[in-house]
Amino acid sequence: MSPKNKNIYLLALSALIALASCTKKLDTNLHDPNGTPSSQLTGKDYFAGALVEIIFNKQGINLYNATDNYDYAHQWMGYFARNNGWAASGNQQTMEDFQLTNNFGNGVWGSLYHNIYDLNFVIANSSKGSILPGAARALRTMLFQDLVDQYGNIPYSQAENPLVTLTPVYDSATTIYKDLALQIDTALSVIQASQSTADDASDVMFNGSKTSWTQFANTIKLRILMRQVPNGDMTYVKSEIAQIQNNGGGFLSQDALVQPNFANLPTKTNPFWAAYGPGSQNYNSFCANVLMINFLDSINDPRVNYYYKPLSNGTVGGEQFGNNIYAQNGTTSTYGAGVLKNASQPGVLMLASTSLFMQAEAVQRGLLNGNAATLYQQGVEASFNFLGFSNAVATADAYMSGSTNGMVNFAASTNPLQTILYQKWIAECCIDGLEAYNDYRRTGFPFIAVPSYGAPGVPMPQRLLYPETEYTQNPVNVNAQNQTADDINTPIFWAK
Amino acid sequence: MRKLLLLLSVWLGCITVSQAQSRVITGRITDSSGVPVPAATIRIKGTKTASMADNDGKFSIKANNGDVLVFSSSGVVSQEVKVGPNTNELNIRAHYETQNLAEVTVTTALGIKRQQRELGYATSQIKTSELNQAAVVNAATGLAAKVSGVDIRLADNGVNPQVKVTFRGSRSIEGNNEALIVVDGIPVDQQYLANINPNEIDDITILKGSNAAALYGMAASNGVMLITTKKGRGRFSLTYQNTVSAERISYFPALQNTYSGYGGEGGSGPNPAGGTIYFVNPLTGTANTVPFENEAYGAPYASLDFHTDSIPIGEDQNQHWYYVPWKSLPNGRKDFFQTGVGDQNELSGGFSNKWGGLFFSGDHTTKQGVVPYDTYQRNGGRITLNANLNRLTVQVGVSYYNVSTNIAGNSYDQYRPVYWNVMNQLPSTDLKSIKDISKFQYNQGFVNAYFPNPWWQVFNSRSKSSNDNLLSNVTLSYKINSWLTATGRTGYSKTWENAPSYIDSIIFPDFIVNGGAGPLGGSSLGVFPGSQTQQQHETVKAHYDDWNTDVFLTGTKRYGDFKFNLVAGGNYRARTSWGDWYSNQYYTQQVVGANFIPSFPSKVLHSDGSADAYFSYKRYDQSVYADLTIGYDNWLFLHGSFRNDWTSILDPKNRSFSYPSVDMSAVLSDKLEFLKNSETISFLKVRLGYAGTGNVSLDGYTRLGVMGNVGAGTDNSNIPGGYTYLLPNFGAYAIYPVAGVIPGFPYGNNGGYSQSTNLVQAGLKPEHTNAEEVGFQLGLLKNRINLEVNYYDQQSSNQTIPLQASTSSGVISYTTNAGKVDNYGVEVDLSLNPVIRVRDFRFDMSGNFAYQNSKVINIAGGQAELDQINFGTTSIGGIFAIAGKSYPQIMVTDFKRDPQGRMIVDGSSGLPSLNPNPVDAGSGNYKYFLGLSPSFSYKNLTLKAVFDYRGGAKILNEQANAMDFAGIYAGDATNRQAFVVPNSVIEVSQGKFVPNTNVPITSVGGLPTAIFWWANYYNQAGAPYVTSADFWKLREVALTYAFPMKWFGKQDVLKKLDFSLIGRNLFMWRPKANNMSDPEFSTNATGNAVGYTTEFQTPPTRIFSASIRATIF
Repeated sequence: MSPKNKNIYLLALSALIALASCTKKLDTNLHDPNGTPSSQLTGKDYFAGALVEIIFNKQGINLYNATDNYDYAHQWMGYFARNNGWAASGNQQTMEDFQLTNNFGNGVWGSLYHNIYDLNFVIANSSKGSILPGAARALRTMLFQDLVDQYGNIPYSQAENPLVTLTPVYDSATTIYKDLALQIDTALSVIQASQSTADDASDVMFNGSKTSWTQFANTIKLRILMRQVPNGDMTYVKSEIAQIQNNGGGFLSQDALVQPNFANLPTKTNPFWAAYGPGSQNYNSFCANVLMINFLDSINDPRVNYYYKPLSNGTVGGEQFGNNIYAQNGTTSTYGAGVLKNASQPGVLMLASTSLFMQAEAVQRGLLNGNAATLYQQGVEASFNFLGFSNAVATADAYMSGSTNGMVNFAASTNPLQTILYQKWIAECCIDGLEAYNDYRRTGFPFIAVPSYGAPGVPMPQRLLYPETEYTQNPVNVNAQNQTADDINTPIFWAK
Repeated sequence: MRKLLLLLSVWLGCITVSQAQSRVITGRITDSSGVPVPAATIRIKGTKTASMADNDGKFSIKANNGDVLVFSSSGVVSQEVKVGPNTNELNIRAHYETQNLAEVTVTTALGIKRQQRELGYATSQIKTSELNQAAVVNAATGLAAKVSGVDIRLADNGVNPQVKVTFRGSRSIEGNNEALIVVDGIPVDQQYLANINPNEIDDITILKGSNAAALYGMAASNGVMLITTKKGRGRFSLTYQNTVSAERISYFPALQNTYSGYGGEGGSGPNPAGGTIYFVNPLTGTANTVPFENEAYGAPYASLDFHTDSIPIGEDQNQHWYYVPWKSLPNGRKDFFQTGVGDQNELSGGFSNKWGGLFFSGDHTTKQGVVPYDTYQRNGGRITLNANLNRLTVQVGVSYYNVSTNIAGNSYDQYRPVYWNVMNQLPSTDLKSIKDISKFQYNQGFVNAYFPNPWWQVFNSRSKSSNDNLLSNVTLSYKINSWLTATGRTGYSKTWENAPSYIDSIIFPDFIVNGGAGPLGGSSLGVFPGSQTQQQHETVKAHYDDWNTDVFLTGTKRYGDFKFNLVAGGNYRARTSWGDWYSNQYYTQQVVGANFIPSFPSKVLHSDGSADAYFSYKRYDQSVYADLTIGYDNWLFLHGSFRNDWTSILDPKNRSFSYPSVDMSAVLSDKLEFLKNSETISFLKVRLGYAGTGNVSLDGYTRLGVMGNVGAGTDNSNIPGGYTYLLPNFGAYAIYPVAGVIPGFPYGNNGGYSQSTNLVQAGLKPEHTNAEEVGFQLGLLKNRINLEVNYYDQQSSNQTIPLQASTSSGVISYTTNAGKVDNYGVEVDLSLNPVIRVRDFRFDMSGNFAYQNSKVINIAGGQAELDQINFGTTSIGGIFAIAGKSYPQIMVTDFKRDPQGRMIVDGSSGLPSLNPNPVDAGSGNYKYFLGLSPSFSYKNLTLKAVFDYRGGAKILNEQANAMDFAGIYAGDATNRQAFVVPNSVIEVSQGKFVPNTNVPITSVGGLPTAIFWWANYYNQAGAPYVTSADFWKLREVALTYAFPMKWFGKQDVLKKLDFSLIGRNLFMWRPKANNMSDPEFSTNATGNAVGYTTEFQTPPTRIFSASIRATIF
């Protein structure tokens, strides 16, 4: 070997050594300093977020699409309306004219499914004996019901499993509804078998209470069954309700409130406050709806000033939904202190009054044992209580007993079902527009003479159209549903 | 030394004279830009007498009257000059040959010089003179239309525009398609092109395809742009160049100037002039003007139905109203834009001798934008030292540049760019007259209730950025023996970015704050609590560095007729980046959603409500490579290369991968007898190659900041408006998506995580490209005509694609290896040197043509059942990849149409309805490229021009759609009364359509009039806003006069003085339907989703410059 060749080999050798010393560096990217991969997290890391996500979707600005959430149901149900100082554009106009397109409701669809995806993670990845998988299953069932109630047939059996398929097929709404009831049964057995664990800390709704979660699951099941009344299979409904009653867990009697510790700090506020409170774009864009104002005034309901903020002259004012007649400055009310309390108010997942009125209706229809009048009274009391009336129970009782109006005084009612559903509609004002819209389609209550002043004579839509994203990303399956624009008038299977 | 030479030549001259027959002729040979051509050969024709020019281009040769001197040099057209009785001194201006001559040496991968004849793949070279003929500020823009297969796309027209550089179209659907930029052997980010002074560039070599680039491995699957900076050459000299330019808006969108403002309001408002303004005339039911509107759907200016002859636009401190005349001012908006003045100063110098050389340069460039007060500044310089120390050669280069911009930021409400707020004023608005916003009662000086006065934004919303870049390199080459050399090269670059933006506090009038009505009605600006917002402030800080080292051996050895060239070595590259996004964007009361930093896991909240989010990325790559060329008899060459890469960003099982390449070339004109003797054909080479390369298509950028919009916006639903800064993340950690965080979290110990909406396939592999190319080079008539033709076909499989999932699957995208793209094309380069030469007049012409098409063969793979991918859409359309179609494809919403394409309207309302399925609107990428570069010279005068044609693409002008909403687009002056949709049909029974001649539209959007047809109906579809993107442009015209040195008498200082008049983008010819903007612009600035523009790109401009260039010593 000549000296020159030696040089070459030395050089090659040192290059090899240099390379070998670098191989460790190639493992650099196995750990991301900018966040935490899902593989290092468990259900408890997701559960609180999933609850708040539901609040965002239900009451706040939608997380994934700032333009649409359940605002539409609130406006259709007469809770609030566009302030006409603001010209309608895009989805708002479509929604006021009842000319829904596939662009309407993309956000509702996407965020509900993502919410369920997170709940699935909790179901699959929680510690042993934890209550979270059962709780998450009950919540998931509720969200799937919300999807069916708005869209009808939806991806269900193949949904939420991206490693299996990115393009799930659609299942029939009736099949899904049957399975939802079974899902609650499973949830109940998981809840019953659970113990108190460290996971309870992430339950920012019931703090791991088995009693509350059992009541909640029972109430969701009742909600699934009652939705099928009176248009569904009443034998099935009756036997399933009896089964709930037999398990002895009871129904929700408290408001189901999500409170992770919302605070008056940047990004930490309650989503409803952030979306509709002072300083938000919506604060000036939306106002009270005269439909609700007029109804409350007609029955001398003191809650009007709790839902809507009185004007300087002490009255409340609003707009007609869909109307383009311009209201003078200072004549419309924003949300009142009963619903827009403060930046740290809890999020409302379900009202106690919703549960109580549902039970009252079930009893009234002979599907559940109990006293409809008492449940009705408790429902109204719970509503006053939620809105923050001082001496809420007494005030509510005085409101009912002091009235001769059948819409208020249950004893004076000639149509108890109507009375229950009207009071349910009032109680859910500005809080749970979707539930009110469901009852409207199911029972026809409340009666709304002019659903939209922007489209007089046009009936309120019965459902949302499948979103545009499905046509681009799941075309085969969505096209198999053969939906047309006219299908907004096709009722969901449980509706009239 | 010089004096000595002079003495010598005088002395020799004396001898010549005394001998009367043979004398010494001296002179200098330079290229057309005055740079000396070193080591040229000067031969007396028909003899063996020859001499060689020195490094400074100087020569001397003994010759007789009547002798013919032949000047030749590598890469230069040979010239013959006859020695006359008075010929004593000759200054030869040499013309570079086009590069397809046998002797031409070219720079190849790793900076290794090779003879062109040996190469089995296509390369192109651009010299500094050609690059800088139009005094460009950004080097990439100087390349446009000059080389086939090179697509230079200017994304916008800001002061520091983004330029996208791609070679041979697109191979990767979702990954990076941009060419690798290598400066003096060191890879740099494409953004670096904005940092380098183009005058420092000596030449740019384009390695168009995979074969050429194979030695660069995965970084170079899209081709390589090798930039070589200047080195000291010859005796010491200094060059100073100054260019002054003026930039003006050239093509403004077509506007309607007939109708005034009305946005659908009913009701009335008090008229500041007294009385009441009715927004709808109570007698006629027609719309009157509404002074606070932005939508121009009101009464025609020509009508008399406004109460006074002037419109109130705002109050002063004493509640006195300002009025503007009740008339249309067609240039009221356009005149907002100014003439942007630019000034480029460059001083460079250097020298070389046998020991080595030195080059240095300094650059000071300033530029104003067409948007008033927008500025750009570049300061910096470069020093390059090279030394020849026996067996060792050393090159050290250091450059440092600062690029600073200061531009108008976005508006306070919807984060709109200035341009959009200019457009959204009524035709009666004279923007120049409301520049003094201080005269208005409220400091925002607004003139309409929905869009702020753009001057407010110019003065109170600023976005600055300061980008510092250090690039250094050291190359050591050691000649081990006569045939083997070892080279080590290391380069380090570091970039710092500091980008503060602010939007100043605003005081709103009460009627805005309280929302709803006021003296003049409603406003959507009333989103703020109290009477003011706090100053919103945002800062993006970032830095990234890149350390790249190559060690390789090069050897050349001959065995008989065979010659072997070997390269073998390794590469190590380490990159890190870090970013900090700070924002105090929040309002007194509003919290969630007001803080504009999305909930990144690394977000840190501060007690005052502000927040930072931090990002850091690291990536390591290493490789070994070998490359062997075997030449036979100097006419047949076989070349192969192999490279193996290891990268840290992939799963350990998949992080190692290799690429082979093989190609051959044959110089037939040296071998085949009939060609050897041909008078016509002087050169013919054919070649053929195959290469396999890989692309780890995870490289990306993390977007930091929202306020400092840099021109091109993005369609990111989380972030309004655009972005401030793109932090390179190198694809690090991309295969391990992190959990998201629900806004507001953490609360206490509750993390509030949410699953990533992207899922990544386990064991993701790199994309793989098989590339084949064939081509030939032909020189005709002593290489007066040069033709080069290439055909290539590249199939890229294993595409790394975030498949768009149905959201019901739980995720939004699933990143997987799925899909294949076939990318093929033809490139033709032709030059005629000269076309005509008559005495001192010379006309040269070169042209290039390219056809390219990228076709998606399939996308689906494994579990994926999707046949298309979208890049982010708006409600009217988007850019997609669709199996079986060209890539990328524009898909838009459209109205339902019958088989003949006629709009189907409702039989009673006359209104069309939307088709829920998006329709195909054409390719976003150009398919045909034609560049023509004529050049004329007459004595000291030269005229050069570059024409650029691109065809075969479409463009979705989203801005036109938004302009229809505002009623300001040219067509919006029509169809305001009841009308029948032209060329529409009614479906009388299924599948049966009859022309609609009598069903008019009488009501739109619930209003008893068709007035909002454009705003609320027509613009729901995207199809009407797609036009052809084809264009012809006169890119460059440069008229240069080289002052004859004799004018300056006998002096020893000034060596060369040139003066140029330059025009850039003087004319653009577009199809008539495209009356919006420059179709070359793209919202997705440097991404793949071209074919879509918005209001974030200011209108096209033309630039006039004057340039003076002097060389001394």
